[in-house]
Amino acid sequence: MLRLFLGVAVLLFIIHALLSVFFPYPLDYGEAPLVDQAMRLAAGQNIYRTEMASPPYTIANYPPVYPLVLAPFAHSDIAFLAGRAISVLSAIATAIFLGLIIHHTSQDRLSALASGAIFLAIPYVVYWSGLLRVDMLALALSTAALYLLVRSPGSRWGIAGAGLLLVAAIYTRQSYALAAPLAALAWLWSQARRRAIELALLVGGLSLILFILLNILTNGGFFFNIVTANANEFMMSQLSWNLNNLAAATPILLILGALLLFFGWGRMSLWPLLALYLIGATISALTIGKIGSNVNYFLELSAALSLAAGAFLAWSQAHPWRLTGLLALLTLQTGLLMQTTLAQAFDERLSFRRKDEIALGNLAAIVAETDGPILADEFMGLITMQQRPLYMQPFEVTQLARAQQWDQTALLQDIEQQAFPLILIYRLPAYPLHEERWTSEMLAAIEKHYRPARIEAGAVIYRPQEGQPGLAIPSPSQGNSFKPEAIQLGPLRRITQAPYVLQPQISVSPTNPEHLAALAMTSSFARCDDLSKCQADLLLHISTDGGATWTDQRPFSQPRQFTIEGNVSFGPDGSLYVLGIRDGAIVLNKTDPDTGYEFNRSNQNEVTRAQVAARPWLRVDPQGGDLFLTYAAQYRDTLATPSLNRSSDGGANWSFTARVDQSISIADIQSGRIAPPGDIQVLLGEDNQVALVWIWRGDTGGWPRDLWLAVSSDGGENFSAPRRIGETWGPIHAASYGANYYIIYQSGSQQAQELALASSQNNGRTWSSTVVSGDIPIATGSDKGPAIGVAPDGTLDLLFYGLDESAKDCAVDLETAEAGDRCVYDVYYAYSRDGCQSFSEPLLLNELFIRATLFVQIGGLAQAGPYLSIASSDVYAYPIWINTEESEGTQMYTRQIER
Amino acid sequence: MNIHPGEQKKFSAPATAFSLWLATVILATWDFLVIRGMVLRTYVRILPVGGGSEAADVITLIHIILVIILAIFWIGVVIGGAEYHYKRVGRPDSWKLFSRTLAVELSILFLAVFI
Repeated sequence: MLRLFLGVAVLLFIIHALLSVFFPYPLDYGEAPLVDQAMRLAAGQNIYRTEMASPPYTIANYPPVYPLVLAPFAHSDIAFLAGRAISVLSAIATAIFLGLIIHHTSQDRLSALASGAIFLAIPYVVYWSGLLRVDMLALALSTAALYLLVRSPGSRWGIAGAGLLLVAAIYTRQSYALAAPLAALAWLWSQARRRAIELALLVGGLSLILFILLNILTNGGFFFNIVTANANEFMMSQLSWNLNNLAAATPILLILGALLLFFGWGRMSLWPLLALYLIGATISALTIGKIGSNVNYFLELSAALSLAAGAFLAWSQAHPWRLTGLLALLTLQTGLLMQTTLAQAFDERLSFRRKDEIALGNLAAIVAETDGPILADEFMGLITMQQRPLYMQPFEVTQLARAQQWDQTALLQDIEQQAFPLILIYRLPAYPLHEERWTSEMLAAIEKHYRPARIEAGAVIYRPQEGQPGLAIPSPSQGNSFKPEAIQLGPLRRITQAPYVLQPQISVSPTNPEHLAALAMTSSFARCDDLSKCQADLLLHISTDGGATWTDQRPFSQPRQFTIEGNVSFGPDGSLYVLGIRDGAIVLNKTDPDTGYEFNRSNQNEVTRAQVAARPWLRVDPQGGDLFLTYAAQYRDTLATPSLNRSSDGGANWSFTARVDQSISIADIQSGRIAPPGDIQVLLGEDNQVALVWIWRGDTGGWPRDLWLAVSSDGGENFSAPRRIGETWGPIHAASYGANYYIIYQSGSQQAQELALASSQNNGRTWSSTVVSGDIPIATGSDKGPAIGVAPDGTLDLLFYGLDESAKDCAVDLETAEAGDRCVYDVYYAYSRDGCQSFSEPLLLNELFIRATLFVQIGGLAQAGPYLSIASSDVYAYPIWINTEESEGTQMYTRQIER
Repeated sequence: MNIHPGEQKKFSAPATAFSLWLATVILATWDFLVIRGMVLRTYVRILPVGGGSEAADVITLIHIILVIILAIFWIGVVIGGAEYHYKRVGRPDSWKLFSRTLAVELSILFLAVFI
């Protein structure tokens, strides 16, 4: 049984090795620096520099043996392949040496086989042997030395060979100066003390001479690089996490190791070697708590534990019951190792990276076509793949800067001067890895002077920010306010009797202000946790008497799945447009007053199926009647970009798709690694000026998100580079009037936010901002978006959710959205007749507070809809919102506001 | 009734062999399903780069090949095992093969716990 298990485990090792060796792109941060060092060594350059006042800002963390071995391949296309093959062969060699050590002392083939195979089954070995890293070579050299000493402890040639191998291991990775030399000396001391002294003198002396020599040749650079630059901060939490992981993966091996330490003396001939190797490897493993360290710190311990297992098996051969028990335990242990290997070496690491292979190909192409120095972290290897040297190793210099051993001023100046045409920063969704690799000053400078142009494989591709750096929207000022005494509030009107409604939208006809259209999504149940069992459709309501009475109809044919995310809008000629997502496609339907606003469902028109994630927005040009559709559109199969479609014939044909220069990998969106762009809306200015505004954050998708603007002077066919103009803590809503652009957003901090209106009077060139929520504590959350409406005379109407007085302490977790929303809300209205110079004090519209617990739940998310809506005519404003006045279900309400 | 020890042994060996053969067949059938699941599960976990219809086609092909190979082994256990044990019923090499077959079959079931 053990043989079968070990055979399968070795098969997993081989599969992992083959997949890793032939993977064409970087697998680990630490690979590229070694290729870079090999390239520099091949070019006869010093890799151990003492001063880092000028670029390249690189550190050679390890002694030179591995880069020297790699040097012949460094300037070729097979550098990664060659480097990883060295690691795989070294791992196999290590397994063989471990087996030989056991076999030489026990003459037992099963014990020898088990020792070597268990080593190859350990997940840390499986994963690390597929990387272009120094560790496996160092381990192979050190175990070869141990085998030589076990084989012929009394031989002078054996001592000389073992000594040279130990020195080679130390000069491959400096931490190998502990466990293997200690074990070798202990073993020799137990066999032939004179030889032990000779080995100590040989290894110690040769290592010291080489150290002094290299230090002199590099003017102290060798010491600085491999000692000073390696002294990183130690984190107990990291040590504890890794030790727990080790204990979970190798419990039986650890117990055997401990038993060997305490009870092996006198029972096993190899005890001095095994015990000291275990102790040394354990001490070495404890340094895994250093920031930036990885499972390679467990490799020597893995070898030592494998030896211990083999030694125990050999010792048990004479005792059948003990042997049977041990075989069963080792079988169980091998099963655990395979389970961990599949979860950690494959799922979490190799498969995770292989899924990004296409995206990495795209990234590699971008790097290849970019001239000039490139900054990168995780994917530095894409630079060395072009046989170009590294400009910087961000993690290493960040640690030096934090230890005040490196002055980053020159680099920061380079970033401010946009000296790098491309910066790649890798981000993990659940862990701020980039904050370990870049100083906060570097990240701030990049955020200010660069913009995220694309995301591929979790890496944000930064390009220099065109135009003025910094945010265009200033902090909001407390604007002037007035009491809304002239307002006349009409009665509350329930629009529909449908029991479960959400996503309300309303529009007023510019040709007849008594004509209103209200759209809502209806659900078949209050809770739709299983979407396949729910019916969701759009229901349109028409009023021709200013909202006093309403008739309803379904504007689209019955969907197979659902129709959601509705938009309703009147055109300047009184035509009525309804847009939604029906069975995965954006569809549009149109009617006019002559038909009594009756929709012919056979006329519905599929606009596109290219939308990704974000809600589509429809806007009708109030002057010319052109239709503008904004959404995140699929691009080149794998990317999504904020995009604009335009139709000049009432939606029959859509002339073009204009995209802004910001693309996000769809794979990253679907995996939850990156949030898609949201709230993509068009602003229609004067003289064919058009702007797109949207929110997006280039990392995890939390709040606040950046507010982006791209402008066009040719009617939206071509857009300028996106510019980050502000940030918001919630959804935005935008509107335009002449050359005036308005964006309502949430400013503030995580603790306290207020609703602000950013306005521009010159088609988005300059901005001002005013707080409009007064003293009302506003609602937070990703589905409590405010609404803005502009009347034909320029009157500005605002609608927003405020927290009800009875729930002031209620807080919604912005990250988990409304899943646990137990708040109660009110809806407030404010307006301005003087182009944002002054706003009315917010006016409460609902009579009973709104209970979030009664909102329709879709997929576990309770929501009223991502935005409120308001329709504006010169005399009236018609807000629309979701009420919860009954004991269950939701109701859609409006009331006429005369102002 | 007096039963001589020799007679009892003669009588029980074929029945025991048949029972053991039946056990190997049942376990082989079980192993067939377990190995198929294990291999396909591991393939999906480890090897495909993308998704889509191409990946599904590859999995279908692997499934077909795997089923053919496993069927050959299954027939080997059922027919080959029956022939072998029928000719050697009660002999040490028959018991030895039974023990090995059962050990491998049980090991495969245990292996599936981890993979």
